[in-house]
Amino acid sequence: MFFSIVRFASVCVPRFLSSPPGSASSRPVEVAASLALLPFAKPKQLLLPPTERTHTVQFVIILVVKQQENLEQELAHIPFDELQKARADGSHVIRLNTAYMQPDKPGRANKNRPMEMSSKVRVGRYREVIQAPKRVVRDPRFESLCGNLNTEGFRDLAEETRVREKVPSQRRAPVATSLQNVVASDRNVVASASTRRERRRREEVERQRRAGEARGSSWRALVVAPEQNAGRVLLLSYMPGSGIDILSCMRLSFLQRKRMQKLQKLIKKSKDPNIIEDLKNHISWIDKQLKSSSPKNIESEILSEHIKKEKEAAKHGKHPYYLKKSVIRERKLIKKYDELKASGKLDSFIEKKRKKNASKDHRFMPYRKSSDDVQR
Amino acid sequence: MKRQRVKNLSRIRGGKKKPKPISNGDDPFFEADAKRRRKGVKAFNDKEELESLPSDESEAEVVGGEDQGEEPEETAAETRFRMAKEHLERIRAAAKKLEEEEGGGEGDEMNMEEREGRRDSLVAGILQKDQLEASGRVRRLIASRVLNPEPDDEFKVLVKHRMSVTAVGLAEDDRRGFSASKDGTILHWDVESGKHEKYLWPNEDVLISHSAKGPQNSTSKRSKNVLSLAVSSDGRYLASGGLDRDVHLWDTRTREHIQAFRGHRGPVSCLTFRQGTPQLFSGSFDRTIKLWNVEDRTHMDNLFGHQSEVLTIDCLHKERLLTVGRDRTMRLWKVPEESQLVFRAPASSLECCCFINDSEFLSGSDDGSIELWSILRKKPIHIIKNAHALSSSHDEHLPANSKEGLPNGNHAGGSSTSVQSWVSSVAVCRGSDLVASGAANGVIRLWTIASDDKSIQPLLAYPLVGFANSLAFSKSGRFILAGVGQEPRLGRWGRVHNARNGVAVHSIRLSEEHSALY
Repeated sequence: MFFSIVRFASVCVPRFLSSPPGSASSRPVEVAASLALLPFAKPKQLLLPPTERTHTVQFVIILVVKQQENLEQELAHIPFDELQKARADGSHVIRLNTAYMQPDKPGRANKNRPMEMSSKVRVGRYREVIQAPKRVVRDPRFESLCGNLNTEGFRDLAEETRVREKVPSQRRAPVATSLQNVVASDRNVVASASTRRERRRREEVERQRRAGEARGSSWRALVVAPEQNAGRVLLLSYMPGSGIDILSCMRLSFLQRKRMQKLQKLIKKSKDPNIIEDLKNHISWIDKQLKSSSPKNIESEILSEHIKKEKEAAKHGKHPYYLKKSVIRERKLIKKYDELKASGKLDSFIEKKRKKNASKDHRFMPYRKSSDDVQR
Repeated sequence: MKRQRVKNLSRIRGGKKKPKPISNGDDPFFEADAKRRRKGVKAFNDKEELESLPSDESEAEVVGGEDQGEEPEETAAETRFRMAKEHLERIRAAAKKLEEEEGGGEGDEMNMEEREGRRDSLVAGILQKDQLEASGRVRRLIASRVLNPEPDDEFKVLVKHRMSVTAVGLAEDDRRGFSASKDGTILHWDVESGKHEKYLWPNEDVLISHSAKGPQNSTSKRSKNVLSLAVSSDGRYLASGGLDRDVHLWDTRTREHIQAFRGHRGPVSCLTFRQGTPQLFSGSFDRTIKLWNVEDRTHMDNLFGHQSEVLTIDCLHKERLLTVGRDRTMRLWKVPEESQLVFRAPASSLECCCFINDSEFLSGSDDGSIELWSILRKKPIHIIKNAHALSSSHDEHLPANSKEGLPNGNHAGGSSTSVQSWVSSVAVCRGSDLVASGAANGVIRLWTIASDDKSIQPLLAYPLVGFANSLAFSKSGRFILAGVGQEPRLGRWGRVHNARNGVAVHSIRLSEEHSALY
């Protein structure tokens, strides 16, 4: 630590200065002498006296506390006109060790440290006042991480939620991976079906809950909240493109049939006429549900059958074939025919069709008499 | 040449170990002052005596008196040396007295020298401790000594103002305070007695001659609304800033307006002096911070970075500033290195801030929460939510179970969204761990900064009605001043009708320290 006396312009050289006078103009900064003094805290400023002093003798005293070797290097970076402009009264100070002087720092040591910025960059008129987080819009249709849509599975899932909304008893135990769960949940149905009002209230609550869930559920995963009585969490995970279709493993109609059996047993057991009536209504409603299978599913059913068959055949080395639209139409027709025949309504159906076609063809029937007849 | 060097030395040295007379260059007025102080009481008495004589005799006598009393000029270094010696003698005497009180008979075996040596080491320890505390390296543990207030201890209005008080300042000697209000009244007053004197605003012409800026619209009057005050450490200068975009400089001795600094393009919302120097920092609604020198009456520097209005500024001995703004950031400015550190607050604009020491800061925000920050983390290390919640029941002495189990700290049981929950000021007792925060929910809360786990712990709550726009602690921690108003400092978002505009003081009871030597 020392004081350095630095000389600037061409002056007469005192004896203790080492360099000859001529070189003063070419090298503006010269470290001439050192005086050992008491140690002080390190200032980082160059303080230079005002230039009202005589122009012939321009000694500049710089109070810098650093090693002699570094001083020249530090000062060499500062342009000469800056050094000349500097004043001792502090109106113009040269700051060493500023952000401008330092080479670009590689960044924070740790991401939890505060950000360091320059304090000399003016903030413009169009500026970001509050840093709001950018909302990333993710469209699962175009996102590569989401995978491909499995329409079959999605449809089954949607149907399940729809059915669940409408069928109270089925809501209690949705499609489960094991039959035991189904049975156990039905037991809960039996246990908790006490009064009509209670059941209705529970139905309302559950319906709203399921409605909310159905609305919010993505077609990626469906988590079933724990039942009030059962306390189980049944997770239905739907993995797109994986080919695993948990829902289609259990046919809904099968479940419904099972429930019907249970309900019928209940009817036999219970004594209260109100309850019996309710349960009967319930059963009839389920029947209607069974009957009204929506027509959209027929095509996908045909397709899935075909795919299953092809998969089986592929295992034995056969090359799988794509099912044409005409073939699908054919099969639909065949299916319909089989259905009608099974239920015995084939004749009436065909009759109706014939009548309709006939009435439509009627317009092509000629109604004007021919010219031969008129003349005769 | 020698003189100049000495002057530079005194400016550079940051913390001072011993008190020294303020040597202010070549101004003859101040030189005479220093001389008078140097000679002590005797010379002053002579002068008084001389002045009481009739005039023509007194003139000659006065001159003679001056000639007789004149000693060879003492430099600042010699003054410092002399005062240090006196200080040391005093401590030695006190230590000797204590020793004699304690061990009367057993000192016969030891020599005089051994005893002296022991006493001196004790004295050295005391001096070192004092220096560490004064420079802020060691934290004084005051918060543990704070006692519960007596029933008759309450906030007493010391000085009344007509409109809401916006700023309160305290001189270094804790005896004189300064306050300013929205109608432009600036007063200084004595803390013990409450006697106050007003600072008179000069004419518009005089202001213009002092290089003030005219109002933006030439037909409108200059707004005298003062938003902020700052007192220099030597107690000579008072700076005030307000809606008229100028920083006004006043002399505290004559209560006159010295100069106005123009340059800010928006209302000046906060001011602070760097401790021990004539550097003044001002922050304004135009998002800049300007650095001024009150000795040289010049503008030195600009600091940019805030994205929205700067609301509060604070500075300690180092050339480092702490500011908070409406852009939800708190910035630590390293002025010589021309860089800033940005700390981000969770989703609420910060209203006030203060330095606890060089690496810990405290801030209050407008969602009613108080945050403790460290220089190493960009987010607060401890947050107290709902610190000034408006409670439906006015039970202010909080029981222990009112704090809910949020990880940091939550005083639940009331809403914190109204204007009366905005924490408008925080203050710290210098160099200690005692902190106070003020809002308008009727209470000034005292907190302590726990040093082991770096958290804020609640301590006490003093009831106070009105918006606590500004708080100031005394250096000793014996009392706290609050600038109270019916409206918030920067606007009129709310009003508390039964509040008294003025400066209120509350004394803090401290249990005695066991190692008080002198």
